Amino acid sequence: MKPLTLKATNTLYYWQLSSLNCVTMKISSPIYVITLLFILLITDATAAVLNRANSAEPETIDPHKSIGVPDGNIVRDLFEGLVGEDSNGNVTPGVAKDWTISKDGLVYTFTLREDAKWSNGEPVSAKDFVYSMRRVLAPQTAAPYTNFLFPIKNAQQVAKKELPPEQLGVVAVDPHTLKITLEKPTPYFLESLVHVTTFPVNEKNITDWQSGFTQPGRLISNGAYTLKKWVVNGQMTLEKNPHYWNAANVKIDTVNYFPITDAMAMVRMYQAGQLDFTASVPTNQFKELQKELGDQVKINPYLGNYFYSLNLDKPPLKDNIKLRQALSMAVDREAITQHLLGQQQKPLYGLLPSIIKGATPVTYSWDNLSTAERAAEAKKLYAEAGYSKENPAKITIMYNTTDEHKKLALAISSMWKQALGVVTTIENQEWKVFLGSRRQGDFIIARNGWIADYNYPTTFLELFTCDSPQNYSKFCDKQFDQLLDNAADTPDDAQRRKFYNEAQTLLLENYPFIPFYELTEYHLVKPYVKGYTGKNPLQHTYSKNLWIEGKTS
Amino acid sequence: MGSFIIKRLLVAIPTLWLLITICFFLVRLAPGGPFDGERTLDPAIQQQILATYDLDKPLWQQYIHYFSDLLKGDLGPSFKYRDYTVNDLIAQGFPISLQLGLTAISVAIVFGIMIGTLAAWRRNSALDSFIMMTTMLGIAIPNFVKAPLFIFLFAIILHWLPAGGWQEGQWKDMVLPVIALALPPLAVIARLTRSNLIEVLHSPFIRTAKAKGLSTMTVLTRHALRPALLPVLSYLGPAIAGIITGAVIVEHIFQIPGLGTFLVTGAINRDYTTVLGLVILLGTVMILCNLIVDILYAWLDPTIRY
Repeated sequence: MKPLTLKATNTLYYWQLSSLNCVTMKISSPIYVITLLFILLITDATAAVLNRANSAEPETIDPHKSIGVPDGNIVRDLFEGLVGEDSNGNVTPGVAKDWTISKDGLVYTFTLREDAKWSNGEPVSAKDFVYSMRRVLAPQTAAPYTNFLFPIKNAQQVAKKELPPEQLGVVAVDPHTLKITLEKPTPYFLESLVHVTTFPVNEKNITDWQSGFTQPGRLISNGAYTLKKWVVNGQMTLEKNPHYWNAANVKIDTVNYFPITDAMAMVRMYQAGQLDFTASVPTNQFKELQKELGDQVKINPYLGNYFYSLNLDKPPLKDNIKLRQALSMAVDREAITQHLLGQQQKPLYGLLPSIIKGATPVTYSWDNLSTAERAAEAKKLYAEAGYSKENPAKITIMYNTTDEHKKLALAISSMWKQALGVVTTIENQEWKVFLGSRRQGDFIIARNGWIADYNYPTTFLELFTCDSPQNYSKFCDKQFDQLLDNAADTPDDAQRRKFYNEAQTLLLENYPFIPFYELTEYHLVKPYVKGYTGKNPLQHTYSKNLWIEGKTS
Repeated sequence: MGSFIIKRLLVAIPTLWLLITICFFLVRLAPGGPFDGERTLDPAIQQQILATYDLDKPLWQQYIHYFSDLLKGDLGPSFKYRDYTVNDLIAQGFPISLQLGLTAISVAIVFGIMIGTLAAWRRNSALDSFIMMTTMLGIAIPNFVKAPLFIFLFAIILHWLPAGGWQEGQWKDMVLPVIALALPPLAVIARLTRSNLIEVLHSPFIRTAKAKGLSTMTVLTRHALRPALLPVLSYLGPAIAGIITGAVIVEHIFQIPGLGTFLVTGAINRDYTTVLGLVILLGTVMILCNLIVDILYAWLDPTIRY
């Protein structure tokens, strides 16, 4: 959603790189010193403040209703689930200090910390989790991601009101012991608990204020921070929660979140010293910023992929596996990642990004061929599918209107034109129009991409099950679904990996999508902001893990 | 005069009703709904969410429901900012837009008239040409070019002012957006003032005033300016309404949490209630501004009587 990306500002940037910069610095230096002294006088030197950009205003900070990345950033600072994550993305104890898993993988027993407290000082108890998980499943909550709890016993029936909430497999054995029983040994269950949908909310807080409980002065949270101030589209201020069990190790006292949709504006505020941590870096200035700011530009792998969905229900791609394969083979992914993108993205020849846990990513059988060999093979397949120069395949790529998607669609269509002679029309649609067309299958090829909800293969593989609402390709293979079911049923890790391998191979052989690259995430981070590693594949950055050191002004 | 104002206010009611009705159906006509996202929700969940907001009911029921709430002063919940009602959002954003807009328009009026008068007084001089040229630039260079330029100079190079943001309307946060917002109307006002003043200065009554031996200053301010400002006034009605409610680009560039951002995100996200709420507010402001201008007209021009 970048309606007002301001093209005209591009030129500005080049000025800044010029010598103009140093000249004006000299002129302004006395004023600079005065301003600096002034700032030193008025600021409290002991309070550590982090000014952090968010890519948009959160839709809601109710953990159970939040959807987007901006919502998640804030909710993870305010609340804490049973487990947490360290800077590298490993599951760590959260409200639960430890847990045991039964041999059959079905029963999880969490021991909650005695010192886990809500921001009003009351203890966080096992009952809070029982209440919260029932709330997620209650139809009147209208939680978007109820499916995160579906591995829990009876969760689906409770959500459909076929069973009373008391039948849900979440039981408070005593105030500090929570027992969760699953339907199947779900290997990613622990990982999925880092998702905000599974976080606790305070029951009294909600009975007192209903949906208005998320306002400053009302919100009771259990994480490292509390909500101090919230101006929609302006600024959100979080303050350190003194009741947080690990408050002694939380080093930043105040976090200011600035919702900024325009990456250019983010850079300007960063350069003016108003932001310490941006949510993104404008891609059209990437190289210049890297040159100027050096290692303040952080790039890290992001557990997600960029691909095109091929409509298997519509000609010419319907029942035409050879054409689909030819299209995938004719794409020069290295050229895209190196020349078109340039943010260290990796070419992708399968569904799963290379940093996935729990399975080995399977790639196309032809990924070891050279570009020329691939092109030759693609040409052969294209001819076998019945197309030629005189009778070229005609296809349409549909994407939602942004410069990035357009650039890629243009590059890919020209690769197809050059290698095969395919006639490609590229069509952009406004965001919501695009979503509707893609959902209704009103496309030949549609832009797609997926960011993992948790670090496990199912987050990607389940996009292609017969009943997945995300299955825009309308790929449906009972054997594929069966393999995923088998993997979910077995408690044996090696066996499971085998099922995931087979499922990936089956999927890739059918070409319902064309993968392009693995995503990366990029930020501008001031040198005095410490503790940012970027090594969490989900790119969750908790403010409590950061600290400020050596900031001069 | 009193009956005129009452009559105008009565006419405003069907105008607003029409505006709301057309807008109510128009926003719903746009493809896609408020809860469509990159992740397609499970149909059952989607249905539940729609039901929470009454969006699963037939349109006419939604319309009646909306109107009965509206008469109670309730603009409904926002679909995009789900922790807020539209009333909350307007209560938060409107004062900011008002503060920014009124400051900007005041700056524009004061400096616009001053500069325009100066140019008219010294017409065809170098000063006049300079003023006319710079005001032309003020009109011609769009804000999405000007504003980042200001930021670049005053925030990034000189570090005098912030590059954006809004800390309860501190003067530092206001300087750049006010200038950016004030420049186009300032330029228009200056040019309008100048051309009308030149015209008025040629009128017989000015010659009479001069002949009476009045000073240039008195002739200009007491006699010539008042009639010369009439076209400026008719320009101001829509300009004030526009600057208060429609500073979309300036608010976007300077990260100001006024109404402009809500209007844009509201339309993109199919946030029906927010868009409607803002349309009602915008319509009311527009009607009020025009009414005030009409009243001021009567005050400035003795030939107009209602």
